[in-house]
Parts: sequence; C-alpha cells; structure tokens
Amino acid sequence: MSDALAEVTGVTKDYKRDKQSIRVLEALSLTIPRGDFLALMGPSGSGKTTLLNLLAGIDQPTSGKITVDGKTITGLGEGALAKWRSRTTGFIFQLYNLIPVLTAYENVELPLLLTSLSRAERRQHVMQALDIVGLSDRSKHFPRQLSGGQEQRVAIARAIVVDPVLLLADEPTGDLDAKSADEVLTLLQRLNREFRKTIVMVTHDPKAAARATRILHLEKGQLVETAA
Amino acid sequence: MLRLIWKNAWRSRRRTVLTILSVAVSLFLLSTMLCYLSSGEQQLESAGASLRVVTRHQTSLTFFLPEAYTAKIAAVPHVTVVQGCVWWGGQIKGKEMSLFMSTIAADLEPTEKMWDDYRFEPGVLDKMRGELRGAVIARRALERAREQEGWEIGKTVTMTSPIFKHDIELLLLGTCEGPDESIVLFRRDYLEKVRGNPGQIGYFWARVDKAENIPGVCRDVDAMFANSESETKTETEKAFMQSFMSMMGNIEDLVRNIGLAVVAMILMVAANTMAMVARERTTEHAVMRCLGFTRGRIAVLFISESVLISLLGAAVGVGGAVLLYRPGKFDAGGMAPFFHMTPSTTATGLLVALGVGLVAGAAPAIAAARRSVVDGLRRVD
Repeated sequence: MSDALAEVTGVTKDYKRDKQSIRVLEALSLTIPRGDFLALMGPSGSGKTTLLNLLAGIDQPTSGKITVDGKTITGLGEGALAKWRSRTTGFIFQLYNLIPVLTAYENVELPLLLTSLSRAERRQHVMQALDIVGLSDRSKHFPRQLSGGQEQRVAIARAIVVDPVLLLADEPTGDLDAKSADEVLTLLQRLNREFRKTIVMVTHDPKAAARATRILHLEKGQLVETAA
Repeated sequence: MLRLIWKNAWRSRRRTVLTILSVAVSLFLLSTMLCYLSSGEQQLESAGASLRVVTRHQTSLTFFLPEAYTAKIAAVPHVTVVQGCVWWGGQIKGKEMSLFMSTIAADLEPTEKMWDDYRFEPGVLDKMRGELRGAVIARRALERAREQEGWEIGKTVTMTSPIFKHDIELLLLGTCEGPDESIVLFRRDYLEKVRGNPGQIGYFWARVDKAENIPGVCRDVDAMFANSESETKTETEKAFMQSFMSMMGNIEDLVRNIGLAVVAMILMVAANTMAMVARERTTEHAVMRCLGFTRGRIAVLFISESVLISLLGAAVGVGGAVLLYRPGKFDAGGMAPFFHMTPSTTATGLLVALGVGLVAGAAPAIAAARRSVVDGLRRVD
C-alpha cells in the first residue's frame, strides 16, 4: 500500500515478569493506511494495548520495526520519541486521564505548552479543538464538573489539539454509558471522515468496533483480519 | 507551566498547608538559632576592632590579681589608661533567673577614656564620684528592668551575685548606651567596702594607643609578671570574650547541632510529602509522557513544586523571624545584644529552604521520571 501511515514489520514483544519471559506479540506485521479507522479487538492479554503502545512510541518492541509517517521510531531515544509523540500522535485513554486541577481549557492546552506557540495562538488552537468536540462553552469547567462523556470529549480535544496524524484510542468508550459512548464514537468517526485523522482504536465492544472502517482481531499475539 | 506548578502544589490544600507550616516552624527555629550564633559572632567582631586588652590571672579568670599591678601595667609603653575590674555577675535579689545583667565593679576614673564606644548620660560619672553606691545602667537593661521590676533612675536596688556571698545596694544614677546592652557599672571601692577585702582585682582593662602595638603590649605585660606569684595572661578584647563565652560551655556547638537536626527534620517532612505526591501522580506523569513531556521536564515540574512549597514555608518562617527579630525591636534578655536577623542569616534560611526543596523533590522526581510510561498507565489509582 503506497499511502501507508504506519507500518509494523515483524514485531515481536516479550515482557519479563520475574524470571519468566512472556511473548505478547509474535512476528506481527501490519500496515495502516493514511485515513484508516482501525479497530483492534481480541481477548484480554492478546496484545491489543501492547500494539497500541508500540505505535504510540511509549514502548519498544523486542524485535522488528515500526515506521509512522515516514519515520522509523524503533530505536529512537527517549527525548526524540517524546518530541515525536508530541507532534505526531494523540492518545485517548479509557479513564480520560485529565488533570483534575486544570480546567478543560488548560487540559487541552497542556500539549501546546511544549510548542513555541504564543499564548494567543495557543488559545486559538484550544478553542478550535474544544469547538470540534462541542465543548467550547465548558472551557472553564474542571473535570469534576463534567460528565464522563464530556470528560472523554475534552480528552479527545487534548489529543487533537496539536493536529496529530495518528490518533490512538485505548477503550475510549469502556467507561461510558451507551449514550455517551455513541457520542464519542460519532466524534471519532467525524475526526476520521471530516478531518482525515488516522485512528487506531482498541475495544472489546463489537458495537464500537463496528463504527471503524476496518477491524482486526488479535489472538495470542497474532493478527486475524475481519471485514468491517 | 508556572500555573501548572502552582495548581499542582495546591491540589491537596490541607497537606500543602501543613507541610508549609512544618517547614515554616522549623525554619523559624533555625533562624532563631542562627540569630544566636550570629549574635556571638557580631559581639566578637565589634570587640575585634577594639584597642583594649585584658590582663587576667594566667590560671583562670576566677583568680584575683593584686591592685598594685595597675600602676605597673600603666607604665608599659603604649598603654594609655588602665582600669581594674571585678565581675560581679548581677542578679536581682529574689528573682535570680529573671534578668541577666553584666554587673561590673570598676575603677571609676578611667571609665570615660577606656569606654569611648559607650555614650554615658551627661554628668552621670560625676554623680558617681559623689555617691559610693552609685551605678550607671545600660538604657536597654533599664527598660527591661523597668518593665519587670519597676526600676527607675534614682531608685536603690538590691543585687545579688552568683560568685560572691554578699548583696549590694546600688543607687541608679543614669544610663549609658554601647555594644553591651546589659551592662551595670558600679564603683569597685564600694565592692571592696562590702567585701572587706581590698586590693583584689578580677581583671585589668588596658587601652593601647595603636592597634599595631597590641601584640607588643600583651607580650610586655605578661613578661613583666612572669615568675611572680600571680602570673598573667594578656589578650585582646576579642580573645577575652571568646574565652569568657567558652566558660558557658560549648553552647554554640549544641545550637549548631540542634540546627542541623532541625534541617534534617524539615527535609524528612518535605520529602515525605513529595514522595506521597509522586505516588499519587504516577498515572498522571505517564499520561504527560504520552503527550510528549520528557522525563527531564516531568522531573523539573516536580522539583519546582517541591521548591515552591519549601520557599512558601521559608516566606512564613524566615519572614516571621525577620519581622520579629528586628534590630532594636527584639530583646533577647541581655544575653545576646546583637540578636537580630542579618542579611546573611536571612539568606542562610532561604538557602536552606531552597536546598530542602531541591533534595526533597529530587528522589521522587527521578523515580517518577524513570518509571516506564507503560507501567505508569497500567497502574490504577
């Protein structure tokens, strides 16, 4: 595929627990086209989150190579990876993980503090991101003043504020009620279709997975593709 | 970033306030001890510029010297004036522990020439010439005694001594102002009359014409009395004060050690707080790393928070000491005339706070920065 955003080639990942080595991914290869909305499914311990972490550059494979947006991230140093992450990826967590003492605005602004943008420019980006997720009127609210669905939307705004090419979502609806989950999934679909964001979403929920353009099943560290 | 540090610091208000107060109280104690140490140093410093030397018995300050030495010392080249003194001690009868006063019986005539760094109330020394029991008291000492005992100029007061068994009655004739704010000076001939044992001198003050002649005078005086029944030890005012202070035991070392214990205590309190904070924010640090924050930036944010809390404690503790221990405003009861916060003691307090903040934050910050992102995210608060 010529327009691949991410390429995972022969990746193996072993974890060491005490003296035992556990293989989580085995010689896994995967191509994620630009603009893809990929759902990763599979039983617990199948390696979904590990694969997501490897794509985000927050973990390193035992062997193999990962290239994202033309840059090989395997073997990059911690500083270079942090810089790369701040520009290339947006991460959405199951438990939102907003900073409780910061307002919605300040939470979304957080990744921009690592850039050289001026205060006014940051404001423009933050308000735009909050507008996309439909929460520009809640910018001064603290996380405790928001519902779970709203918190997750703020987290999505934080993930997209730096305009990353790759969005990685780990069970983004796992902690939400059906209505909020639907809103979040609709938002992710919109980001994929309207803003051409490439999304990789780990989920246990078949309904959530059905909103993706492609579903892959992981079993015992191996990929099994399923039609969306 | 500063806003994030500030907001993080106040995340748990009660804990932060308690930590700040712990640091503040400890730094206030430390400042008090530093004031005490600096007071002694300043006393010695002011004595260091003096042209006075002291001659005492070679064995100890508690042995007397013959009065006849007065004329002999005065005859030593470069000595301009000599004054015989006896340290009385000076406590208020019946209230021995209430006030400390440096009460000294001294030859009256040389007083003005000898103590040119003191300002005597006009005419007070003349009045003393006409009154055997007459005494001059330091203005600050009188203020303290007025507050506690109702002392006034013109009043006769009874004083007792930790050294001599007799009591003396002194008629307060006027005040003086000088480096020693606890001094009470009275006539040595009155003490001789009370004791009925004339001709005994505790120590001699001798004034030298120039600073460069001081070592020679010390040498000549001691050489003059070598191999006599009462050999002498002559030393500068600074050295004399040092040996006098050492008679009180090694209080300075004790204070210094307590100061170190206080610093260790603040460090433990602050380090405990920061360790708790680091533990609570494990996931949050991992999330920030996901957003692109480097290990170094996480460590800097964390240490900055620790330093901020510590400096807020310093603002309260050291600031409180600066306000309380102002020159001329705080009275340490006469024991430490220079007891006030100097720029150097203030800077030391602030530097200790800075150091405590850095050290207390460093270990948890490094641990937080070194933890892998995956491990941090896996942890559930």
